[in-house]
Order: sequence, then C-alpha cells, then structure tokens
Amino acid sequence: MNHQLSEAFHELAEQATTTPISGSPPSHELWQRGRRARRRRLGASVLVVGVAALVFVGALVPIVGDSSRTTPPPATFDESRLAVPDHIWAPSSWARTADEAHPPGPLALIASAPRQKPWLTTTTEEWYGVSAADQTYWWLDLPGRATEEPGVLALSPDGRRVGYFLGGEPTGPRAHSDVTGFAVYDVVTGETYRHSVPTRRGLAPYGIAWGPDSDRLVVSYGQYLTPNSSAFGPTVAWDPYSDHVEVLPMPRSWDGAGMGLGGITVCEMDVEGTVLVVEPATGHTRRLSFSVDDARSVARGAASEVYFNPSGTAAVMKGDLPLGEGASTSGLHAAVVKGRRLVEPRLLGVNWQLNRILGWVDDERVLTEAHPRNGYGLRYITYDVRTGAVDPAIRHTDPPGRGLQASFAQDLLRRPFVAGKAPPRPWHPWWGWAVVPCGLLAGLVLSFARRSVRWWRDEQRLLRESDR
Amino acid sequence: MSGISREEESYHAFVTARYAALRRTAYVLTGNHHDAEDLLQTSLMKAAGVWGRISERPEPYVRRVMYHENISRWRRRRVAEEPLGAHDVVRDDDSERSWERLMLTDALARLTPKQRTVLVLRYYEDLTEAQAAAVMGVRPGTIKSQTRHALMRLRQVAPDLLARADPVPEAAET
Repeated sequence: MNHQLSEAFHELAEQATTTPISGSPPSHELWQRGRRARRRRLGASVLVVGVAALVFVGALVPIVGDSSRTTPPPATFDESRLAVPDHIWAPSSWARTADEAHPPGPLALIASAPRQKPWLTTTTEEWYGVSAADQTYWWLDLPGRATEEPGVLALSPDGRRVGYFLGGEPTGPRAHSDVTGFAVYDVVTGETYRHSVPTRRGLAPYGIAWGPDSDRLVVSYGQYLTPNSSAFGPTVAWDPYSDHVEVLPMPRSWDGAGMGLGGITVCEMDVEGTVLVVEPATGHTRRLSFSVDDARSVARGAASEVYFNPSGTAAVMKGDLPLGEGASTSGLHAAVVKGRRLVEPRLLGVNWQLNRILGWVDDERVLTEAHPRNGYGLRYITYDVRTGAVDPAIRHTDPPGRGLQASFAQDLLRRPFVAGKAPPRPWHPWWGWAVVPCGLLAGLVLSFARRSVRWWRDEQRLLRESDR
Repeated sequence: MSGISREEESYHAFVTARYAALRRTAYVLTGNHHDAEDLLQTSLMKAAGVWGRISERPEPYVRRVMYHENISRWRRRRVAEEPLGAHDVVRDDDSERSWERLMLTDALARLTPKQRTVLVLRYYEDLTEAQAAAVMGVRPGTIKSQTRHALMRLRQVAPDLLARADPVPEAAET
C-alpha cells in the first residue's frame, strides 16, 4: 500500500483543524433544515400525485361526458337556403358525428368514405351526410343499424330522413344475418323509428327506397333459410310515424327502385318490358309498357331504375350499352311517355358507362353517376334527354379507389347547386383531450418516478451500507 | 436542552462528538475549507431527515452520504472548476506546511471527485477494494481501475510526490 500517500492524506486532514470552528457545530439548525427538507419532499410527492390525479380526471371528463350530454333541440335551418353542393369531399375521420343527440338537419346527400376510429389505425367504409343548410359534413352513426348489410341506406327526397336496416338478434338458434327489421333516423329531430320483423335466422335485405312524398319507406326483404338461400318476402310500405305497414303489389324481389309519376318504380323488362309505378301510400299501381322490340333494344333482360321527369312526359332508365362483338355494359336510355306507353327509346351518352341514376335536375336533365367508357374515375354528370348533351355537374374529391355511392335528396336537386365547402381537417380528437394531458401526465409521473426511484435506491443503499 | 425530542437530542450529541472528525474527511475530499464545510453540513442535514432509521449507527451513513454527495455535487455543477493551485489553499499555517502537503493538495485538486474519493477511501480511510466498492456502490474492479487511473494522474501532475511510492499496479479492469 502506498504509505507515503496515506501519510500525506492524514497530514492533509490535520490541516482541516487549522481553521477552528466558530462556536459549536450548527446541529440545531441542521436538524431543523433536514426535517424541513424531508417534509417538503413528502409535500411535493403529495402535490405531484394530486396534480396527476386532477389532470387524469380532467382528461376523462370530456370523454365520459359525451355519454351524458343533454339532448339538444332539433336542428334549425332556413328552408329557402337548402341546396346541394357542387363539390363533395371525403370528410376527415374526426368530423362531427350525427346521432340521436346531435341531428345535423336536412341532408343534401349521403355517401360513403373510409373512416378511422380514434382507437384504431385501420379504416372502415362508413356513411356520411352533407348538410343541405350549410354544407357541413357529418358521419352517420345510425342507431341500431345492422352490421352485415352496411351498404343499404336510403335518403328521403326531402333530405330529412335516412332509412336503413335494423340489426338485432334473430329468435332462432342459428342466425345467418343480424338484420331483424328496418328503421328511420330523422336528421332534423334526431329521433329514430324502428320496426322489427319476426325472424328465426335473420332477414335477407333486397331493397330499400323512399316514396316521392318522403313519408313512407318501401322495403323489400326475405327470410334466410340457409346461409346461401332465402325465401322471398313481401315488399312493404312503412309509415315510421304511425308504424303502419302495408304490403305493396310489387315484385317479390327488387334491388333498384326508381321514382316518378307519384310513386316508386320498378322495371320488369325481363318479362314484357313493363314498368310498375306503385304509390306507397295507397298501393295503387300503374303499368307502362314498351313495345316488345323497344324493350329488347333497351334492356335485353337487364333494365332497372326508371325515373320519370317531374312533368311525367319523359323517362330514363338504366339499360344496355353495346360495346361490340356481343359485349355490353350499362348505359342511359330515355323514352317518351305517351299514355301507358313508353315510346321512342334512345341511348344517350354512348361514351359514358352508367352506374346509377340519381334524379332529375329539371324536366330535361337527369343527374347520374357514371364513368368514361374508356377511362376510370366516377363522375357526376347530367344528361340532357332533349339534346343528348352530357355535362359535368358535381365534382368530388375522395380517396383513390373508393366509390362514393352517393345518394342525393332528389327534391333538392331541382334547386340551383351551391358552392361546396371543403370540410375541416381537425386533429385527432384525443390530441386535445387525452394525448396532451396524458402525455404531460406521463412525463410528469415518469420524471417523478425516476427521481423517486433514484433517491430511494441511493437512500436504501446508504442505509444498507451504513448498517454493515 | 428543553423542549426537544430524544431523537433530536441524540442527533445533537452525535454532531457535537463527531463534527471535527467528519470535517477532516470532508476536507480531504474537497480540498478546501469552504467546500468541506458545505459538504459536511449537507450530509448532516440529510442524516437528520432519516435519523429515526440511522440513530443507532449514524456515522457510516453520514460518511457515505459525504462520498456520494461529493461526486454528485460535482456532476450538478457540470463545469469542472479550474484549480488555482496553491492559491486555492488556505494559507493559515504557512510556517508549518510541508512541501509535500502543498503538492498533494494541488494534485488532488486536479483529479475528478470520483478519483479523489476513491483515493480517500483507499489511502485515508484504509479500506480494501471490496470495502471501498461497497461504499461507492460499484464493483471492486471499478475501484481498482479508478485507483490506478487516479495514481497515474497523480504521477503526471505531481511526480515528486509519488517518486518513492510503490509502482502503480497494472491490474486488469473489470
């Protein structure tokens, strides 16, 4: 061992005594300060825990509070200002949500778009509505909606009600579907009207549409027998406010209904070129027919969605668009109404493949969803049945590869379109209420825990060592 | 003293009895009177906070607090103080001060607090490597390497001081 160094250290230590201590050691003051420091540390610990608890509760209150908000009054709006926007965007996943407590007011259209849930990173295709009053965007969380038929939704012509299939538990032991009825969500009052249908294995939904007066929902459904087959059921007209259901004299199965002449329309082109017009309120039925040759030229067995113009003088329908060499796709056909006959059928816009007819803009122009015959991308275009001209009507900006499936409030299509408003892009809803406080809280707790652990470890080690 | 608890009374007794001895250690650790006083008082203050648990044998606790506090105080300052050599030493006994002591004070000031603490533990407190390691809360190998580095540093800054000393052990670091 280095004795010289040891001696030097001891000699150095003695120098400490060369400066005398002035008076007695300040033991009383040291004791007081030591105890005070300990009390402060304990107080700080309590304070940090208290603040952390307050921040945590503060972060939870807005989340929990959502479920306890009082029901607001029905949405107010200026009837004269209701209109369809000329541009549609896909809304942010964090756009406002319409439910029973938060009705959005009359809607100009409903459509689907990918939506992310706050607690997930994946998206699902969900429905939203665009307000006809102020062009704001609302996700539609329809109460009790069936999860297995998400694509079946109908907006009433006045834009004030949304019809959909209701989910539930079938009574039988082996259910093939969770559809157990149908419902209407009133977007003005926020109320939901439900009608259940007894079913053992679930309902097979075929079609859902509104009558022209927006007061009756027309529904076609069957009863599942096996996972892949179902028994045809009736087509019924349901008044959601009185819960009155009436069976309509319509084909047992249809999926695309049109509108006009005071009723909903279903095409029976595969039989004899007949169009059924059924008034939902009375069940009164009219039949209009093509000649056999005309029916063949229009449809060749696949026509649907007949829409009569407001004056009842013309009709358009989804029919056949020959592509050559025997191939064909869907195109828009127009015909003139003469009594009970549909005459002078002709194909419009041969450069466009028709997806769906959406409604008449006026007596001569009809709005459709189509895409170019030799191109891609959905367009909302109008056909002029008099001149055959095709014009763009509504632009849309949505994620690539996603169909809008937009349905418009048909009564509002006849009003001038208004400039669309791009929906806001709010931050993740948890950013403000949960992420920031929780992040701060986590930082605070981690920092405190780190200091505490370090202090405790040192303290314990010193105590342990001092006991040896 | 009246109006004080038995705990406080025993604390006062301990401080009165051991203050001078602890001050010597603090002085060896810090190298100057001001820091030594500061270090000792901080350690005693901490001891007061846990007196209920250490009152049976308080001195080992206080000493260990001094060693650790000496190192962590230097860490908190971040910027190492530049030693002023002999000017930084209190010259209240110039007549009796040996040349070696002055050299040692100056050389110790040029070590890191950790190196200085290790040397104090090994050559002032006469602890073995294992004992010093237990006090510092490190492995014995670390004490060994710290000692070696500290002695090498002393050789550099004060070659005359260790001229007659044993060679620096070339122990492997662990």
